[in-house]
Amino acid sequence: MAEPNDFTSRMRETADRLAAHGVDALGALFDLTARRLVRFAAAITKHQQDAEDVVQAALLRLVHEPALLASTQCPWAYLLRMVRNEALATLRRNQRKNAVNQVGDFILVFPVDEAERAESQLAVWKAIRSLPAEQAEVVVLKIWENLTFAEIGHVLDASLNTVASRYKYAMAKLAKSLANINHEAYHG
Amino acid sequence: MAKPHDDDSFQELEALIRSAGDAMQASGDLRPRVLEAARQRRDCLSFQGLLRQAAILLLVGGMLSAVVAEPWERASDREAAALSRGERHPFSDATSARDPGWSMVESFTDLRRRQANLLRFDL
Repeated sequence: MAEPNDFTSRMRETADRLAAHGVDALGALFDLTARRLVRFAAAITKHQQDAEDVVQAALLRLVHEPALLASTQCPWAYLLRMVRNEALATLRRNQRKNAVNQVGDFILVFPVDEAERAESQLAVWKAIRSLPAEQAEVVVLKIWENLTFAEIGHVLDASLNTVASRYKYAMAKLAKSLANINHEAYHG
Repeated sequence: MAKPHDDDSFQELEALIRSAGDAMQASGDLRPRVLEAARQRRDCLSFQGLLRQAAILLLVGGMLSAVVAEPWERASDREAAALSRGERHPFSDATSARDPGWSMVESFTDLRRRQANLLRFDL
């Protein structure tokens, strides 16, 4: 697939630049990865602000060791794992009792003239937010990050079977939550 | 809708979920926030590094001065003992022989000046 390869090579270049130039190259890393990292973290923490704090904490760790990503075999997987660890720690720390069926604090941008599509996308986010963190992260990595089960297992430090099992359970729940969505809204 | 475990329904569901992937955005101020925090942390780490280096230099300098000063302190102890016994200092001025008190002061002053010069050169 062209896009992941292109992203992978850009990720490698950015990691090397960070190792060479330190904090001065952090902006490039942010531009390349921040939105995806916030998305991934939000699926775990269930709150936008927490997700952004998690991403900030993970990127700030690189200030101490700017060569850390470049020294790994797969910088993107390593960065995802850093964010995941921070997100899980935040989730444990906060243990909010807010309703998880609302997505009021998520910053979601929808096409202005596509109300139906916006409605279905909002429903998707609500449904993902209602999943347990360990299932939501698998769904995000599989569908939005296009990782294989093996790659997801590497990020989560879990076996392939465990990842596949979580994915199936998650999709079954999402199918039930999104049963009433008009699929034509996103096919078009 | 098809059964949840049917691969075709998973495909449709995956497509639906995939379409929502780009909806989430980061806050507008996240980028400047992160970069500013990173610069501050870098500057803080640099300052801490300088403090550590200064502490190491002070420690090494202190140890060196103790090692260099020790023989001179022993020499000054011997010379001070000689002075206290009234022995003539080899560098004392001939005119100070008229005044033993001044002779001792001048001898001691010469000794300390000699020690300072040698310590300065060695460091």
